[in-house]
Amino acid sequence: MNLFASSSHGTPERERVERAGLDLGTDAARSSSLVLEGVGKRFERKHGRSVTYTHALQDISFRVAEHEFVSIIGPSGCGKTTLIRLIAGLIPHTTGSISLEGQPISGPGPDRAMVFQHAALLPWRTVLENVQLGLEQLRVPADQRKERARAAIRLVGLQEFSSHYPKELSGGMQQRVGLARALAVNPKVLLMDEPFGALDAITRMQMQDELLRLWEAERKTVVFITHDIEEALLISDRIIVLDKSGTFKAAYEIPFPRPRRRDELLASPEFIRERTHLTHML
Amino acid sequence: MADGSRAVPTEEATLQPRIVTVDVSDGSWFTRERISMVAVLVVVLAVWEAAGRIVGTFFLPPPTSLVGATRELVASGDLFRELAKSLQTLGVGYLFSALVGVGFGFVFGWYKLVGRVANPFINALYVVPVSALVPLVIVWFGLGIFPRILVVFLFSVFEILIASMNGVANVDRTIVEVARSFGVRSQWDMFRKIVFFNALPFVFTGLRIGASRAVKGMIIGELLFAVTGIGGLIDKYSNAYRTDIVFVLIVVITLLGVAVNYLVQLLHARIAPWNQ
Repeated sequence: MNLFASSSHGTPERERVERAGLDLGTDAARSSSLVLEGVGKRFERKHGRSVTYTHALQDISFRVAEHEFVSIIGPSGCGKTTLIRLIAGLIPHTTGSISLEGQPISGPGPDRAMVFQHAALLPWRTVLENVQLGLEQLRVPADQRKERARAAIRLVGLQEFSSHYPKELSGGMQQRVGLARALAVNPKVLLMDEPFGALDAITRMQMQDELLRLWEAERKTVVFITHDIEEALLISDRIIVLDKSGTFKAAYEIPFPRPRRRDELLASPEFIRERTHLTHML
Repeated sequence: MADGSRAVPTEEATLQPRIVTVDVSDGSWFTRERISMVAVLVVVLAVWEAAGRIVGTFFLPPPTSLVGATRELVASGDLFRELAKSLQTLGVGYLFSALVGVGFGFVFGWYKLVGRVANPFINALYVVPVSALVPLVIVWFGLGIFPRILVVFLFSVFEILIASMNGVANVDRTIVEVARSFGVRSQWDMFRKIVFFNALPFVFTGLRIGASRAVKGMIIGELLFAVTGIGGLIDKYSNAYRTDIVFVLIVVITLLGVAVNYLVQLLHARIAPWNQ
């Protein structure tokens, strides 16, 4: 592993990072749920007689344990969104393998549910109908479908808005619906693609706190894409850093105990140290 | 208050629940908007009346003269008899044009290859001035109801077809990804759950423009056939130098256009309430 070939940080730091890393023998002995090995994605664009290949991602390997919250961060254009779309099975990977509980991923499936960047709700469906989308495809009977959708909506605190259309909701509320839609199918892995990136700062904080609370109660396996270092440090167990060239840069275990509280954590010297460290790495 | 900027909600402050539905219709029809519209109408009528009296009632029959003209037109039985014929042509023609336009529009939008092949032909037909085809239609099909229906159809079908085609073809890619990631697999499910609904607002835009054009097609057809319907009446009364009755007929056509448009909007609100 050449994680810190160019890093200027001290040895204790390095040890901790390596422990959190890739080797399957150590910590990864705990049940890994999602496994990526040597994953790469190449896009092709034909123009005239030539073809341009874009290597969006190359040689990405990491594991996500069950009940683990892993954030993937990296500069914009580093392939974060491509990576999560590969895991979601929305686009095929060109090299390597992705598997979930031993099953190779070859397309979208109910074991994974995605929260999209801009909520991406169906404008013609009410909140309740939007949340039922995945359940309909799973052939859940109508009455159970409604009940499960209502439970998910309650979880994100939108029960009063069940019969509203998306355009009648604020950005933060729309994203809550996006989260409820994903939670309703009870996936093994929740995939979140910069879900709070488009929200204003105050709403983003509220959503982060809420996600933190929800996650600490439910402990779902989560892969979370973000470019916000504080967000990643606040919520996740582990951070995977991608290089701007679309390659793996580092895996990084977050030492803060849970339950976490924003106001305590953000002011602590440890947090500031970690944030500085990560900032340098990016 | 000296310390107003730091005021905090007091214990007594009564907070409203987040969502409050209040009936605000106080029963009064007289909203500011409606009063303004009526005012504009009154001014227009007043100017028309004055102008009509100055230039002479033959050139510009003033509104007051239209009351008598309307009475005459209704009493002769002409208005309702011919209006019924016109409505028949319009209704059948527009219905066909909606069915064919939406149907083919969906097919052309959904099957990309078919759409690409059809597109230049649709564009070519779209720019043909349909009024120029009316004499040909008469040569081919005579003066019965069918050729008139055909003219209404030709006037409105392309608007509806092109809008429906665009609605289906321009489905938001993110929404398609959402659907796929939540298990929508078959093409049929993708169409009936996503693409269809995505297309509906486009379809209704097409239907509305199409409705206006259908009314125009109806009148142009009737004028050139010159034997029947409201268009036929315009021909008859202008030949008889009854400009006042011609004006009444124009008002009737206007009201008809407004009514058809309103019906399409009602349907839109009913079928696609999220889009209002």
